[in-house]
Amino acid sequence: MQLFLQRLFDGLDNGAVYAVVAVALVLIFKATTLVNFAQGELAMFGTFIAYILAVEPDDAALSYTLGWASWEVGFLPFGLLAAIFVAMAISAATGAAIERVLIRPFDPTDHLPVVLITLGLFLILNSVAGYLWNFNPRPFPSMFASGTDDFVSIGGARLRHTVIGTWAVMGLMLLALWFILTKTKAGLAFRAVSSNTESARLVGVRVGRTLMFGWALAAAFGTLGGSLVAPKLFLQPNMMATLLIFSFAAATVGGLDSLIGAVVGGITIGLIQSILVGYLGDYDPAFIILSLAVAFLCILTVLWFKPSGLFGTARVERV
Amino acid sequence: MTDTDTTSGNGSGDGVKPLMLKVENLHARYGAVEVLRGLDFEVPEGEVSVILGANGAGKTTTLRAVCNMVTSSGTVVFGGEDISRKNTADIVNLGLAHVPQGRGTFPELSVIDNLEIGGYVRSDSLDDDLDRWFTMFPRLGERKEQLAGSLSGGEQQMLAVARALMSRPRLLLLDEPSLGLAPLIIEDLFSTFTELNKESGVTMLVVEQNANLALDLATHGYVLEAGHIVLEGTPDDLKNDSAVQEAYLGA
Repeated sequence: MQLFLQRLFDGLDNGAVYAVVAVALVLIFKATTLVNFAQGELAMFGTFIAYILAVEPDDAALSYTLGWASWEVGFLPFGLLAAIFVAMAISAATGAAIERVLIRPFDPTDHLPVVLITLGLFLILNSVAGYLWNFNPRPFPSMFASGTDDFVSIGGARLRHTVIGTWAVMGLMLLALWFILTKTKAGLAFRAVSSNTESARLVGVRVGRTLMFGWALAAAFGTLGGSLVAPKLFLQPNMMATLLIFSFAAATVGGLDSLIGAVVGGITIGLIQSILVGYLGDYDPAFIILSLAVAFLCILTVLWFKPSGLFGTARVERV
Repeated sequence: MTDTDTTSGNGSGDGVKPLMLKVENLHARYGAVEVLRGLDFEVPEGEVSVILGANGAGKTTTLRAVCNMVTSSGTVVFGGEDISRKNTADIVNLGLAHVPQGRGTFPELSVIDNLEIGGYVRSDSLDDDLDRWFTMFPRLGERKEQLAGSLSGGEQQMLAVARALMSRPRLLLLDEPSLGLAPLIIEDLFSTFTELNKESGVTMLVVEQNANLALDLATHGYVLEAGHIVLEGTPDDLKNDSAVQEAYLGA
């Protein structure tokens, strides 16, 4: 029982992070019916920015590589939260710029070129981050109390404060997103563009600008997700690569166009990973390596039985 | 720009109403296929012009070309301003509303959200207009929170019209509003259009296959065939034309 609870909590921990990144994926997908493969790398980049702003680095590598810009890094007297907030703002601007410069010139109904561009971005961001900051993992501070004693004991299992905090942050993020999407004019325009781009244009919505807004939101929340996961995974350019697969699985399970689906999908994938793979791992430790395969199986199963996902809307082709 | 002002003003006087929309030599194409081959038509302020045409004549393309949603050339002057190079959102901001064929509502948005996004170009309060259209279309009022996609065809058409009117347009473009609706609902809808035109003074450009109803509503009519205007005149002229009778009135 204790072990089960522990795995449940671990699953919720992972699930929250999958959910945050899945929400960012869903935002882009809703607006453009495109999967943004660069989402994870954007988040990684944003997390590095938070790191630079927040951490007083004795990080020689960091000050060395950025030394050419004669810019002392890590000197800003930012608290971690403020740093993450500023990094989110910078990410939002970057996301908007990417939409404007790299995505908008292409025909939105022709998916292949745009998907290739997001794949290219994935590689570019990854290698540029590697060039700037090298691939050594860096410890990233947690927003929450994360000492060895910081947990709530439930039935002998440890529910760590970081898990509670991660869920709280995600709750706030969803609340913010809900507010933006349902209570603001920009949010209404975003939902209109998601629902029917052509009609949105016909009511005077500037579609390009609205998509920029979607990219900005997604990039900002991606950075928040990255900052939540970095204390656990350590910050390095490849941090998000595996995470992105699980987040894809989460988004697919929930339905690629459903924000609630992304959250439920995140929990589902997190739990499947920690419980199923955990117990299989008891049986044979080698099974733990298969957790990526389990994520893929989840995607496959959903696509077989309910292609629109648990909460997604089955799109009817309009003629 | 200065030239267009004089054309739209219809300077000859004689008590002729100023033109809300004047279209000259409109061409449009989809890839290599030329769909419109030089159309001229106009909509005087406060009146209703109708373009009749069979499937494939280019009716939908005509409206889309006016809003610059297809590759087109020619001059489109709306309320004295040349809009042929403007993008769709800017044109809508100038006071034009387009109800596309197949209604074009936002199926994943509630009825009230559909109406609010209809007023997107406005910055003042939408409450009075919401009340007004819910009074005119009580069925929408009963279904405020329902998703537009769950409405019946007739209700969706009403929603599409109400949404377009939320922007308080000077000119309303209607693309085959009768398409796919039951006859009784069509009559209802067209009496609503008449009311809107007579009582609220909304100028309209309607493209239709349903010539009977459309000509009753219209003050001026055109017949479009294979991308050309082949006939134009008053509704009575068109009703009495043997070709129109044969092709559109089932005589």
